Amino acid sequence: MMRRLLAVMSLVSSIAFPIASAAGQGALSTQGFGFPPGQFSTRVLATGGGMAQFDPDTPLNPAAIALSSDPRMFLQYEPEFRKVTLGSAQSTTLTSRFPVGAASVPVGTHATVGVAISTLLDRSSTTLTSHDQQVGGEVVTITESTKILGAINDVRLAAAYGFGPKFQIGIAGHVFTGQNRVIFTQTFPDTLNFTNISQTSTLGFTGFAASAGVLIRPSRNIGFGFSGQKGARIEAKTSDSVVSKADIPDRLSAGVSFEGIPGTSLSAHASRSLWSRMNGLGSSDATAIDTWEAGGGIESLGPRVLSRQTVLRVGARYRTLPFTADGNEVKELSFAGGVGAQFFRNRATFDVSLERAARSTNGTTEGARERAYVLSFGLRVRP
Amino acid sequence: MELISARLKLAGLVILTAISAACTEKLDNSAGCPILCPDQGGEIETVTLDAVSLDSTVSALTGQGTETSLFLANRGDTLDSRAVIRFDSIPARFVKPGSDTTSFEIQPDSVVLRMIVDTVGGKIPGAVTLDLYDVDTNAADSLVAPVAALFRSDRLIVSTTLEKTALKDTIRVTLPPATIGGRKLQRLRIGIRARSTGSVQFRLLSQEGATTPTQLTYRVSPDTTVSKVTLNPYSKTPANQPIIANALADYTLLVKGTPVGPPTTLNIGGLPASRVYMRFIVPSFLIDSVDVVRATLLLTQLPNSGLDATDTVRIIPNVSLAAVAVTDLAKAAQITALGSTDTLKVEPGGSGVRSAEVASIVGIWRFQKETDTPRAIILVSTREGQSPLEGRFYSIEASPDRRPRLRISYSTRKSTGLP
Repeated sequence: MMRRLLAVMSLVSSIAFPIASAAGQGALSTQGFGFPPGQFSTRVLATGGGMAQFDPDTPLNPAAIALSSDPRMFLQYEPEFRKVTLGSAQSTTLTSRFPVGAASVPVGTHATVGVAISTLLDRSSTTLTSHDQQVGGEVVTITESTKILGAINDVRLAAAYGFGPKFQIGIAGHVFTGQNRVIFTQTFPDTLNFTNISQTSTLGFTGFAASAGVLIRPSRNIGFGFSGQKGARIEAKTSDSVVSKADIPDRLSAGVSFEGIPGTSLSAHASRSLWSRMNGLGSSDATAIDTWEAGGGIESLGPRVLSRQTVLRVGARYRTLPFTADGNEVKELSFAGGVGAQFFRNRATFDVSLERAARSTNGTTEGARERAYVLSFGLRVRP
Repeated sequence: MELISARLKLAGLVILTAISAACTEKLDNSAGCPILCPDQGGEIETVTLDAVSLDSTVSALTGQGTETSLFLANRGDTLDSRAVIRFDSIPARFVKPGSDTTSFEIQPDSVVLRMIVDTVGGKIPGAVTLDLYDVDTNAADSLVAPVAALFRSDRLIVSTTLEKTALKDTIRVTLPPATIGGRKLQRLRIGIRARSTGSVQFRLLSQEGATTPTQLTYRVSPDTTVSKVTLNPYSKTPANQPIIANALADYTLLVKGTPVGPPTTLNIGGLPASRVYMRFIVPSFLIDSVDVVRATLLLTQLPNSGLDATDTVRIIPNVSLAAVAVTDLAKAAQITALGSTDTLKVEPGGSGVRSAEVASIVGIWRFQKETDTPRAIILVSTREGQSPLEGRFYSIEASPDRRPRLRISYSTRKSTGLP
């Protein structure tokens, strides 16, 4: 009876190993490599991004740190409350971020160096879905959970020089780093006969870029800011193996600030980012497009409260998000307002802002909508 | 000023509340699926393989006396199974507990043999008579016939009849005092046979299946103030082999077993018990490279019209841990670990394709090096050695549509983490 047979392998179905991607993370804003918070400080966020070129705590224009005459540190906390609607289905989410941290110190009387860490793309999301599928001759309900944590962050080292109150320049080097951890599980109601699947993959990023900027103030009432970033190579790695390569987006930005009204500053900015340079870093499902962004706002002295001068801010911003949803461009229109005040003999400044953003799209994903409230808390100290 | 201060405190409280509420993330975006989250899971593919390279029915080789219960059966010409319980150390004198250390000659009285009955899966047509025999012999411990021959009238110790309703949990059989009195400093080996108005079958718990289920108690003197003596089953033979001797403290004496199944089939269960060894050759990608969701061993049953054809025999797949050095399949089939908690339930008289779930075993194979430990499954009856039920299945020598096959469902998803 005991005899060895040659095993005859009869494959009943085809055997293939498609590489799975988590292209969409269930929301319009978290497609592809995730949502770009904008790298704005709380103050800039409240002015619709209008102050982006002039704010030392916003790591976009390296020339802006030349405006700081004292050492300074800044940290920002920014929870986003989001509601995703698709037809009758709704999800509410809460994403906590620390999107910007910055520090700078003057060097001599005209120069300043600074380091800043900011979130370029935040991919944090979770989806939970279920569907029926035939497995081993039996139709079963499969529940799939995809949890993605992590972001690509921008670490910037900048140096700036002020030739005087009318002209400042700055340059910076950027290292883009971070991780995306994807935790995927497939569970079955019958755990006796089926084995649940759990896959965890960690994607690490390393990329580089350089940026430069200039601030020009031809008169006391008006100022202009220009900055640009040239992206170099970014690599995605899994366990030291490079799985994909692309380029960090190039960016050109311009801003204007008008202080002709006493106690009030009007500002506006526009920016063009070539996110399509990131295509190839992800799968073909993660399509990035070049985007425009424009916004403006007002910053004005507010009432004195407890002998402290407050600053009030309002603004609006429009932009397109870098990653398409099922091939469709995602647009965002937001309105913001905020307040700031100084404490501890004016050595600390605390800013609060609230932004309401509406995100929408056309085409096959037209039914999907997103509404978000972004609370932002910024604390700036001068040690 | 006080109004402003109150408003500031309120604003501070609101901010603190918002910050603390925002500390716990909630990231579930499921409402956007599937439009905004396509291609998350990948497909689940299923392959069915003629993966069994070697299969064989082997003896269960369970050591005599290691069974967790003693199988008593008297089913005419088809099955005869009895039990033997050994008390190999009968004391002659007794020392009272306490300060009085003087001993006295034991005068046994009120001798009772206590046993625990398990009637699950039993056949009890009515009142059951237990015949207890003196089966002490110097014959080799492994021999059945010399012991079976001692179940005769001149060796009968006592017969006791229990109503069907009384045959549950603990039963007590009173023995004549002479049973002990005549064996001081000797050994008492009791053979138990059951009979009834028809076929009868049930089990007694053994030393291996419970903590001291069987005890022999008696008084040592007419003085009822002296406590009883309690003896547990104990065997002195085989000498110098304490493990085997310990197992033989009580054991099933199988006088007539069930018919052996055809040599070309895979037979699981029966008496004496058999199990099945199956060795597999599985494509390495299914073991190493994919996540197996479900693995099913497909067996084609052929009917066994023997005893209790409509009862249920439960078969559980074990994973073999035997290294390649173990070339004797019967021995390799003993070196196992429980690989699945799911049992295959079949009626011995049934037929057709049966499915045994073995996904957890395939998972264990992932950690076994095939060149060191062949990938094998051992199919075992959950009542091995304690039940006459036997399931029979076609082997790899049968026609292709009846051979054992392995069906594996696996996920094709290989995530790099890229969107």
